[in-house]
Amino acid sequence: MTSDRHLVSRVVIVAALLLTMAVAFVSHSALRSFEAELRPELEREASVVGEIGARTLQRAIELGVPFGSLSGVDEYLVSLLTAQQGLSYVLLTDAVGQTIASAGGGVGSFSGLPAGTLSPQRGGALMRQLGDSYDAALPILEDGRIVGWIHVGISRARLDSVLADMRWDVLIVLLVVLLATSEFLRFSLFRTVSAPVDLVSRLQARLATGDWTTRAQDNIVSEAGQVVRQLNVLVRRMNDRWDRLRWMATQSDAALRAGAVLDGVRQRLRFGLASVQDGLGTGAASGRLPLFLFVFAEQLSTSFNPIYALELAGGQGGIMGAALPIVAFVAAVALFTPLGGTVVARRGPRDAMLIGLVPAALGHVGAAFCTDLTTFAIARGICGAGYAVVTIACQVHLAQEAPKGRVARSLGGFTAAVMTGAVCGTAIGAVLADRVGFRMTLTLSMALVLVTALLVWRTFVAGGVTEQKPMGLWRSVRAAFAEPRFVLLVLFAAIPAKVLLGGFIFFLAPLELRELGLSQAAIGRNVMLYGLCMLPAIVFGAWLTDRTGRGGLIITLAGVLNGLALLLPLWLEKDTALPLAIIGTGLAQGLASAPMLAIIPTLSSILGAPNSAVMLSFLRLGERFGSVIGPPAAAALFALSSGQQTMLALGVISLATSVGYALSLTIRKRQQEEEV
Amino acid sequence: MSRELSFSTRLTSLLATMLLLGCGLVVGLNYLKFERILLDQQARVLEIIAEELGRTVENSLALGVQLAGVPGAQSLLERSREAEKLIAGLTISDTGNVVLFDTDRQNIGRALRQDQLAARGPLTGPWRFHNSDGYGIGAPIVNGYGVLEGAILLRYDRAAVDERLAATMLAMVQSFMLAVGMSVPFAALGLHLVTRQTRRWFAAMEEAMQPGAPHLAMTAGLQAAIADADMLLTEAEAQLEQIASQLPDPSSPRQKAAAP
Amino acid sequence: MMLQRRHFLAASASLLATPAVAQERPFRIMMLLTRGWEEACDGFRDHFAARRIPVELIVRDIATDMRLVPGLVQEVRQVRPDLVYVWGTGLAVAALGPWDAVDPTRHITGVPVVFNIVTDPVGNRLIRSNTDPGRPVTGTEYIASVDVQMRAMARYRPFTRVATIFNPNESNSRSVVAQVRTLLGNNLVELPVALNSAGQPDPDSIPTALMQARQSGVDWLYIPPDTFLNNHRVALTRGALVLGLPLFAATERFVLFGEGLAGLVSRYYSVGAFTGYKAEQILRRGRPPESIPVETLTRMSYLIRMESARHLNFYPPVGLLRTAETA
Repeated sequence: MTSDRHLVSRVVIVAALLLTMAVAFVSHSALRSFEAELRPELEREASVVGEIGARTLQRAIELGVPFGSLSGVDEYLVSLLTAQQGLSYVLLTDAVGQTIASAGGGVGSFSGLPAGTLSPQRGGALMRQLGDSYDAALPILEDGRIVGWIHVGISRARLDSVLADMRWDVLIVLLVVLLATSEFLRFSLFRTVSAPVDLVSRLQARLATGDWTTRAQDNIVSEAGQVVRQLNVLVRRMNDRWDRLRWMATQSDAALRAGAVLDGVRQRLRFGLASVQDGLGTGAASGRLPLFLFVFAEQLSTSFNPIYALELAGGQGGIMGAALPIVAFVAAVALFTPLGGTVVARRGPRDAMLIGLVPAALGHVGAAFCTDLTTFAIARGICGAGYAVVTIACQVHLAQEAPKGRVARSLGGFTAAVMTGAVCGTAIGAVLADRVGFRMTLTLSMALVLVTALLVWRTFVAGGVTEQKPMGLWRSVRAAFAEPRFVLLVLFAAIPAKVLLGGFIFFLAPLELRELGLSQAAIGRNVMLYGLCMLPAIVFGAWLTDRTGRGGLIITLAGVLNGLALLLPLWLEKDTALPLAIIGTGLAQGLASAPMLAIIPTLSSILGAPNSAVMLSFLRLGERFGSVIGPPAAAALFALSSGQQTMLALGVISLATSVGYALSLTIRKRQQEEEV
Repeated sequence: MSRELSFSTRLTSLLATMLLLGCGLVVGLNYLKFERILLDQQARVLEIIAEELGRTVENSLALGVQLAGVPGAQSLLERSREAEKLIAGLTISDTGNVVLFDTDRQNIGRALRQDQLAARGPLTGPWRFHNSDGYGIGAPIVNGYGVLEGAILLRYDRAAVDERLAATMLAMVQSFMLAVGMSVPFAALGLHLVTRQTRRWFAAMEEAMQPGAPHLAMTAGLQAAIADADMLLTEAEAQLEQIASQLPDPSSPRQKAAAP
Repeated sequence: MMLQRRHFLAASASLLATPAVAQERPFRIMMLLTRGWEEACDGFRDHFAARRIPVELIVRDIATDMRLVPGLVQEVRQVRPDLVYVWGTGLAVAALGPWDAVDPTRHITGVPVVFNIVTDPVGNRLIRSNTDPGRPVTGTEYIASVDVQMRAMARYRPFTRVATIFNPNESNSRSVVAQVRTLLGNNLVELPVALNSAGQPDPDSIPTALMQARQSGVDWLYIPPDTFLNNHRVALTRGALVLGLPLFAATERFVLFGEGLAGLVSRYYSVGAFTGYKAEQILRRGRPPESIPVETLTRMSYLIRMESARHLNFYPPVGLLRTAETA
């Protein structure tokens, strides 16, 4: 029996290695050739500035000022330097290369031209590379002799910073392609190896018990398909032999003895062609790819939503206007989540997803072609509605398909797919928007949503309608929140986590990072750390939950970790504390996500509670509530005190609520023990 | 026939697609960024030149003339154009948008086209504009009492930038082909190796179902089930045959045995 | 941010203004001149031509005869032009009167006025102040304020001590010297020209004054807009040169038609054009003259005589040479 987990990781490793090497190779040569093309342009700039300076000095000399009596040169060179950003130095030397006057600090490795250096032909400047500057030198003439040189230097740092920026972008492309490839490969492996192997194993088990009735669907591809078809043929042949036996029995006159023979066989084997056909099923793993693609598509615009909004607003509405589309999206998600739960329960995950993908696509189209802020906000609201339905459908689907004993891990897989899609989408959306513009990027989002729809339509199995516990919305709410463990979970774990997410990661961290003087790109990369750290933490948290079964403890510890991470400014300098706090938040929230989700099915099985889908949606609702109040709460604290104190306050909140959760769990356990 | 494609071939084509996509994205995104940077750099340099020309004209204004009467303006424009090959044309216009001096002499006296006037931001420095003919830089000409007297417009095209872009594109395409050309075979090879065990399992399963297949540990369960059923059925066949070959017993009534 | 926007809009609006196709009837401007038509009037007239504003100019020249002024004032009352242009300090004082004591019988009233080539309009009580004229009269100043002149001198070469030679009989000169004293205090060496027995300035005392300036160890010799010294500028400037004194003058003749080293001057043509601009504000844009400040050019011509610089071995800084006019 193959160990398909090993297969997956080996395939992914091969893919990762090759992708990295190929992308690294292409980008390296691209950057090198670009450097070769950009450098002369920078040298041009230096020489043009030099020409202006040379002309001025030359004019002075022509008016009769002897070279040795030139005055005010330092001030003039300073004015040249400051008029043009990005110059490293401007200076004047005499005919033997001694510096007479200079401006700018980058003169470290400067060395003048020796006596006897000839003027460059065809005018223009003499270019040299001195240390880490490009130097353009122009001669100053008096009576036809060279009496001095003017030098303009452009620091290599300008070129280097451009190249560094592009390297970061390449890295992001690589990361995104790696993650996307991994998702696609997993999907393909699932459909061509894992699922068929499971199917074959099931069939094999049946055969071992003597059940020769079942056949498999024969729409499976590649080797697995051949195996399955062979199995079908085998079963068919056995059934044929059985039919022949029966026929032989009828041909015999000794009916009783023949019948006895047949009965003897029938005790051990069963024949007949059942109408039930076993199939691949959709499986938990194959639900990841559509979810990944969908979230990826959705998150392409995250990095520039507010900027686009401001552009559309055209100066009216201010900062509040920029927040409007975000608020519309979150509000729509919050409002439609319970509805989404109902749709999934009634129509099954596949249909629900297809239903939800429609508004998502429409929303992106609307956003791509809108002309003012209000339309944009409405489009985002529509997107939000679709987002709510699709994500709930995926969650429910994964929960249904997860094999027993791997529930938490599968649900952790859901969060991982969402986070991976988010990280990839945000990162590459920023790069794409930078290159092709906002509207084109949004159009791309729509295209990806359509691809997702196609994928779902082809590979998902219809059905999955859950038993409707006949309860109206209000009664569901009351029932859900009547269960104390659910309330505790929502109040002390889910909401605080999202408050920290919204208040710290999305609101406070960018502001504080900017205060430290980081560029926008660097701020983005720091914030991305949250998602990056969450991924491995999710996997770990899920594995831990399944192994130890102590989800509540893990949630508590995660909350404590989160709180401590935000208290780091008490002991560390801000420029170390902030990234570490982001990492800590990512790790903590990743750890807690799978256990939180895993509790739901157990709670739902209690009599009187609504079904999993609906409870999940209420959990999400609680989390949305936390996300919505997080930023304003942080903003209010920020206005009253300082950034650092707001961080500390949030940290304390996390600590307090985790301790509260732990206490409440302990008390309940005590109570239960006493009852028993 | 497509059903015969091994799953490792599917994986390989998937990986090949992603390799193409990844390398292609790198090439495409880099190209777009290069283009922007090169255009920006070119514009910077031309802004310096335009501003300098503007200041020269302003100095001449101080002599006490109107813009249209600045001595040597036409030759200044023509000399500057000669000195800098990037410049396609230079124009000086007044505030009524009438061309006063132009390297393209037939424009003199005509009105400026609207699309050349796309000034952005406060008119204290040079601006960039872009129209159907190409690109342009504008620099204000401000007179001695701080009022805008006219503008100097510098027209240029992208040919130089395009040349550089073509050079980088060529290099990038070459490395793209090389990278993809090398990595796809390696991908095929690597995946082939990595999936060998699984493919062997499938092959073994298939073979195990053929009659007379050798026994393998991997497929023991299946083969046991087949052998078991086979044995039972063969035994039953033999028994029935034996029953059928016996002569009918005259004492027992001939019955058509009903199917069980 | 908003301010810049408005400026941009105004500037771009003027850039985008279509050539004047509007059939405006020409504005009627009556021009009162002191000594004939010269460059300032050229500048004034050319401004309207360049902006394509149709104007009808009614020119009246008194040819330095002040007795013709009352007749002109009468004519203004009859003709009722849209604007009156007055050239020259004396003519302006006579035709306009003090800002707080306008006599409608003797002075121009009821018509907006712009003045050109007038010295010290505030001191001559033509207007209340430069920023607030106090009457529907505005115009331009062609001599830079003393403060600006001192800074220009320092731009050439920073100084500590300055000497100034002037005709004590001229109120303009006295006023300017007083302003310099306010700025420089004890670092100013005042050297009034000696008066002869008739109370007139004695040209033969110029060399003595120059010698005194030399001995005081000053960095610069400053000459205010002084008519007497202007008449004797050749001797003055040559003497200064020989003694190695850098000479900075408030008016251009010392540099252009003498051997003075430097001066910050307004080209009459440019000042005339500026006056035309003020007139345009009144006529075309309908601004009330009392809201238009009286100003000098923002960018004046820095004259430098390179011969004198060579002789003195006293060269201007390179940055200044870029924009200066060299003679």
